[in-house]
Amino acid sequence: MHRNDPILIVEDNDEDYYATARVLAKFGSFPVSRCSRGAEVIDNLNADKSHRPPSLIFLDLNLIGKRDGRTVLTDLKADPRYRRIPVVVMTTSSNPSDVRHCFDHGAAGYMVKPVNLDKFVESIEGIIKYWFEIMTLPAKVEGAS
Amino acid sequence: MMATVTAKNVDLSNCDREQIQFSGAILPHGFLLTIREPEFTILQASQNAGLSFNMQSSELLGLPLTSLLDPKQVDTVREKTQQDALDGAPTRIAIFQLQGQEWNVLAHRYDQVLFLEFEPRSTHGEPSVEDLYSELRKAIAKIQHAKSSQEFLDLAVRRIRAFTGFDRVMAYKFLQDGSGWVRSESVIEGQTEYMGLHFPPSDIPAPAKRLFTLSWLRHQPDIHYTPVPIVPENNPVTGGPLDLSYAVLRSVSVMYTGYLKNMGTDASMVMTLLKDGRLWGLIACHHHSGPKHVPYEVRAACEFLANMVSLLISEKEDLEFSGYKLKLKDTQARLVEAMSRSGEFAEVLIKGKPNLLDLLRSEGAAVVSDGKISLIGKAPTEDQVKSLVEWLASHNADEVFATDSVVTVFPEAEDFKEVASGILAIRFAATKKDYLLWFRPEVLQAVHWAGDPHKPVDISDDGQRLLPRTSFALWKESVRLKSEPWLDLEIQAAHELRIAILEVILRQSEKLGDLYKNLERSHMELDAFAYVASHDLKEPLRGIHNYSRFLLEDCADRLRPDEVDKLRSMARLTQRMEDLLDSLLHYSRISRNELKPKLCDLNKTVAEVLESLQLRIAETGTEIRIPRALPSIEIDASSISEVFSNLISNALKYNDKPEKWVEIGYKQSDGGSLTFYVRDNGIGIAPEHFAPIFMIFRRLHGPKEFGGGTGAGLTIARKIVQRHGGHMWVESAPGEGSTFYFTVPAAESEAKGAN
Repeated sequence: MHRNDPILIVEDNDEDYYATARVLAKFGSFPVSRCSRGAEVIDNLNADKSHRPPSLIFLDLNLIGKRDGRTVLTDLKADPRYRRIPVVVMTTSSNPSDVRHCFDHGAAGYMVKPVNLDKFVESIEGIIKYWFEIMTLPAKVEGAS
Repeated sequence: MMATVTAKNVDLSNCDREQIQFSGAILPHGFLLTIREPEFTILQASQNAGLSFNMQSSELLGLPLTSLLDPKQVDTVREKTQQDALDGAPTRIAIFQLQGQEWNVLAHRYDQVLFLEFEPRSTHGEPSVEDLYSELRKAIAKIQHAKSSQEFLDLAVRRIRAFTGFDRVMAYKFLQDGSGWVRSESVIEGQTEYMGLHFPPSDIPAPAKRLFTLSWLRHQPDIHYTPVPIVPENNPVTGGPLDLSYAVLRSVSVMYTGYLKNMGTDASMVMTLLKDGRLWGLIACHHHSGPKHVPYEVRAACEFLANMVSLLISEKEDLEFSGYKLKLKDTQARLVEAMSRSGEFAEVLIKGKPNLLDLLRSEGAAVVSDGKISLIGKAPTEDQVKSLVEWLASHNADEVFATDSVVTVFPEAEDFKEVASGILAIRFAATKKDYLLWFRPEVLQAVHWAGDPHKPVDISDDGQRLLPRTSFALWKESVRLKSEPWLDLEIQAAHELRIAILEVILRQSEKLGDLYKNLERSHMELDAFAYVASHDLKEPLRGIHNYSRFLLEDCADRLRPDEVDKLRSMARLTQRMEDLLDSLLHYSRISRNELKPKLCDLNKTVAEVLESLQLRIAETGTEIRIPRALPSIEIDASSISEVFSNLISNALKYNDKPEKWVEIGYKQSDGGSLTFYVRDNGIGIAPEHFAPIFMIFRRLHGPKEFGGGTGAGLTIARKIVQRHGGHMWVESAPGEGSTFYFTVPAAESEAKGAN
């Protein structure tokens, strides 16, 4: 199992970012980058010199600042360079209208962050397995060509 | 055409049509001549006229007046009758000496002839004009200052009696139905009192009433008289019977004298009271101790006094009404003030001081508001009021309905005639059956009648002539099913009260509307708060949880066992905190979510719920009882499922009996609303906990007993039921089990049979 694809975490909360990154590390050696503000996302992607755009984006919905997760999702899906990257929404909100909104606007998944760490670990494990083992990611195909 | 009824053919059956002005005869104490003008020749004479001229009366006919009176007297007559119009108003034109007797000569023109009536002057002197004038002045000064119509009439009759020396003087008022009512009386000791009595309309028939309006005063010095005929019978100028409408000496109806005789009257004098040109009543003077002749001067003074009374009665009665009007206004203002203060207008109108009965003269009243009936005083029963209101609502669009005989339009009302023959009703709003009602009893309950108006008339000894009844014992009348009428000013006051109540209601509903808006806003804010708060609380909670876990992961080998335990407790407590936040979120979401009612087969719903609880049912060995199939109802499916789920899982949970059971069933009310229940034979609930168990997070047991839980289940279940317009409650006895009930209102339930 070769898990070294870059992952972007859009998360304003340091503890949540730490927890996510920490749990991710259990399942691979992903180069993880972080944006803590919505407005940074497109800029950071553009500024990336590694020419390795993230294979997967974890996106928090309720972000501090003018551009929250919902607008970030719209921005990403509107940009031809990044619209193929799956965005998994990871949020505290279990509000049905948020769920609907995210899938309507191109989210690849929606996960409610549990308070229970065991559950969280399970969820992350499932997501990683799904995207990096079962699914074929566009970044991979492009990278191989 | 009906035959003309005169003194010749009158009886009790036709006396209301007797043409009493054509009596063709006069009272015997004077004599009468009719004169052709301008010739001044005699056309007709009463049969006793000749006596004063030493001739036969028949010999007088055709003679010039000059052959009866001396030239000076004729000149006086000519002069006086030319000076005044004299139309329909007998006036004394002279005092003549004839055959050693002094005569008052009264003249008037009517029926195309000149009437000369001769009335003898008292032999023992007539009262002086000066004396009469001072008497009159005193009387008028007195009655003018009366403060009520009662005091006014009392003073007037007392004065007139003192003035004339009659044994009895009564002020008699005609009511709307034509009956008479003795409003005031001054009577000599020992005579029957008629004060307050009512006389049936037939006692003073229409023709008599007409004549009363024509002349101010009628006087019969001796009731037991023999009428003196006039010859010839017909008026030679008109060819018809002589019209004696204005004649002072006119012989009255035998029905009238018979009536007076039965009252033990020997002499009478009647004065007319007019109000605004219409017959208001009479002042009737009766003498019971022999004939009584009232001198012309005294009669003139009495006539003048009657005139004054007529002029003033209007003012005095208005005074009375203005007093009543003022009282109405004052009571009304106090009622309105009390209503706006309390807001509970029905309460104020019935139990307040003042209340509805203080406003209008009535024996009973009712307030019908939102289907609730409140009664005060003598009123029909609630059921009767209900049917009356139903009738009013469907038959009367008017805001105010007033009748003194509701039976005539609503026959059922006969059942409560004793309390409500008359009804005054005001309706607040056209869309609601909300009323204020005042009740007046049947007059029969209150009025005394002189004579039984239904008793067959007495027949006199000879069997030929009918006499008016002789019985004057008190009798309760026959104006069956009628109450005292409602006055215009009372109806007006009811109108005004209606408007005032509408204003109170409007102000109240405005206030309520504001209150409701505020409540709704704060409710929404609270929901939004609960939602946002529980979200925002979760983030740090997750941090605490995760860090305690990370600490355990990273440092487990460096921590003592009790430190590891503490970190684990911390993680567990955050878990519990999350459960609580989830419940709170769920609760707030219930009031935010849109309900999507659709037809639900509750048998299926409950089966699904039981399926989801299957594990617990099996574990506890609980028997599930459903005595009869549940109905299908229009309801939000997931909501009702949650209600059953909460109640059933509680029933499963709180049971320590070896043989456990849970019963699920329902009852249907007459109105169609359904009451569901979930019953268990579990631990039960003490009455003091019936309310707290519905409060969120209120738990009666420790978190480890009975399987724990957040304590929001019942709160959520009740909230769901309330959102559907129903309510939820519990009945229970500790140790015996509990039954949780919840209702689904009729509109929601639309029960579709039990299958």
